[in-house]
Amino acid sequence: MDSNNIQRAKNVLATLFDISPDEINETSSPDTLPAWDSLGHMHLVVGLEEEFGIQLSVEQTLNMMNFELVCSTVQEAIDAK
Amino acid sequence: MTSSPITEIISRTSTDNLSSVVAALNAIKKQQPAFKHSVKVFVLRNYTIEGIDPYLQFHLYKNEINVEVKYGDYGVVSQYLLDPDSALYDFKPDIILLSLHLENFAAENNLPGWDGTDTQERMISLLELLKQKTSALVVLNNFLLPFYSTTGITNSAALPNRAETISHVNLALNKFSRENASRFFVVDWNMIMMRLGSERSIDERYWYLSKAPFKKEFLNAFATEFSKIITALKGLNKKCLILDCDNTLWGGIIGEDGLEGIKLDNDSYPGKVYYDFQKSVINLYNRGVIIALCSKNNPEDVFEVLEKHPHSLIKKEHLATTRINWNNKAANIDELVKDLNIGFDSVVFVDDSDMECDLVKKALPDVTVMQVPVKDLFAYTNMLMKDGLFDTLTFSDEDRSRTKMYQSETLRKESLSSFDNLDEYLHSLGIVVDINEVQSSSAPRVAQLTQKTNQFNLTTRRYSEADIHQFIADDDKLIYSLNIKDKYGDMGLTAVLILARQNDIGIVDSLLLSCRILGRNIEIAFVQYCLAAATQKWNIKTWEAEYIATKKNVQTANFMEKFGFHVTDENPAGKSYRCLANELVVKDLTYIQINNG
Repeated sequence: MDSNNIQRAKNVLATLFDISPDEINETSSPDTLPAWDSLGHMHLVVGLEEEFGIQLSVEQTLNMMNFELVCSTVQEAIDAK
Repeated sequence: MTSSPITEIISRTSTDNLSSVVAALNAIKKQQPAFKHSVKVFVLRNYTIEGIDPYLQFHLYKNEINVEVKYGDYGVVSQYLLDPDSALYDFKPDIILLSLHLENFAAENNLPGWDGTDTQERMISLLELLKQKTSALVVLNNFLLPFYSTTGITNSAALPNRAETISHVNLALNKFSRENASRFFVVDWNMIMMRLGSERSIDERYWYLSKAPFKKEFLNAFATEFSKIITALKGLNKKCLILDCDNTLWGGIIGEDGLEGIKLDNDSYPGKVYYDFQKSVINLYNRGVIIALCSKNNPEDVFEVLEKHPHSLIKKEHLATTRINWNNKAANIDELVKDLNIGFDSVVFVDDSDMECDLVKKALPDVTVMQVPVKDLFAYTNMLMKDGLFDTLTFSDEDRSRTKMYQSETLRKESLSSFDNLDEYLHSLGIVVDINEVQSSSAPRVAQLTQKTNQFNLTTRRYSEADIHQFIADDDKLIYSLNIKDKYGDMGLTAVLILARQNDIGIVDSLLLSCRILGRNIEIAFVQYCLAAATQKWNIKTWEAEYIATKKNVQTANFMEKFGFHVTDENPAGKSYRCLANELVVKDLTYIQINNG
């Protein structure tokens, strides 16, 4: 994923979890961000779909359990468009 | 503009995008605004509903209502009601949202043999439990109809039709809520589904993963419908609709195009759009909304359309008042609203012109201005309906006859000019008031008055119908109501006084009057009569009262002094009063005849 898209993904997380984009790195996950709970995860899926104009499958939503996986999953969905 | 930072953030946010909604909410919360209203909601549910949270906050913040939501555990419903120590009772909600999904409530619903009987019985007993065990307002949804038939194309008595069965259960829910109107409200999920379609409503992924069935658009629409009920409960509904005429009630300009030239008919574009808009106005009139005209025309041209045009549904009889002249519209509306004695924030103004809309917005920022969607005229038909701006919790006889009351008020004012002095005029009105201890049958109207009276309201305590029923049953509470009529008409139940006692101390809990009966000292006759009656009934030695200041009730700030009450404490939030019962001042008001029941 290019740096522009990574920044866009960071901004989605930052907005939905009400934190600064700078606080997010590859290992950010539900374990490190308190707002990333099960509801937060549903919001994250919706937010990423809005931002990138993609549709994520059940498997993809289950797979995105840290920020690195968010980026690779979103890239996969972009490529499939 | 005096619009608040909250409304400013809300107005530039679209609910189409979840991230924007969440960003707006975060921005609002960072300002730590002082909300004018607040509400506590407890959610009893059997599916994952939490996704509604941002939308619910968003739509309530729009009306400056802060909301605190607590979700009951997934699938736990009657336990909360049966356990007196449960989190539900501990939370003391104003509103309980009972949101059940049929799949999780009656898993057998899509198996052969399901006839709905057991499901309906369980639902109704749950509602009965809510009715008996709580005093909160209850909002529930009905059940979604199926997208496909489980019996295929066959229509046979031997194969129960699932869609029909669910409809029957839904009808039973509707019936229960109608019989308990003002406490139970049904949000029609199928109406939302019809509007959006299943594609935009249902999220199969999260239904199977997390028992979260709805997409954001459905949650947004559900939250919108729920917010309408909360907004009405807080008395924030609009009461008056002021309409321009040319290109608002009809297409074209009557002064130029003439009666035959304007566009208003039942079968072509754009005439039918205006016709359908008039239908929505008539529907609002029928629900008790005050309709008025404010336009730049020759009055005789406008009245010619209302009286002679075959497709003008709006007639003179629907109008409480008009300002048809060539003066500044903001000045006209200012005068019109003061004349009707209502708050500017309860007024909606509709006009097609950018310039006029802008002028009114700037001069009267509390008025809600809606512009005719000139570029997308089809949206005009539902413009007044979709946001539920005029929605009220209940409907009473007073709502039905409101316009007649305002029309007779105009006659009263006209006749005033033919008298030499006010006293002579007041005598000529033949005022008769009925003062009664409130019975159960009047509880809906009394609750409605406490919810929507803002100006002549001493303490602005809002009560639900259930509260009023409780007061009626309570020996330490007394509720008096006043009905008034004169030679011009019956104004109905328009004043309420709620009293409480502690031993030989009487307390004025609430006093409110509909503003349209002011100016005749009715309020004085009412209060002095009731205080005397309650003093005797309860053997009261001392009366206590308080004035709680709000943005709107300044006219009651010095009211209790009129009866001899003296101030024991005063600060910006209000005043406390005391008065010995035998020192109450009584005025002689010979022109008011008092009956009691």
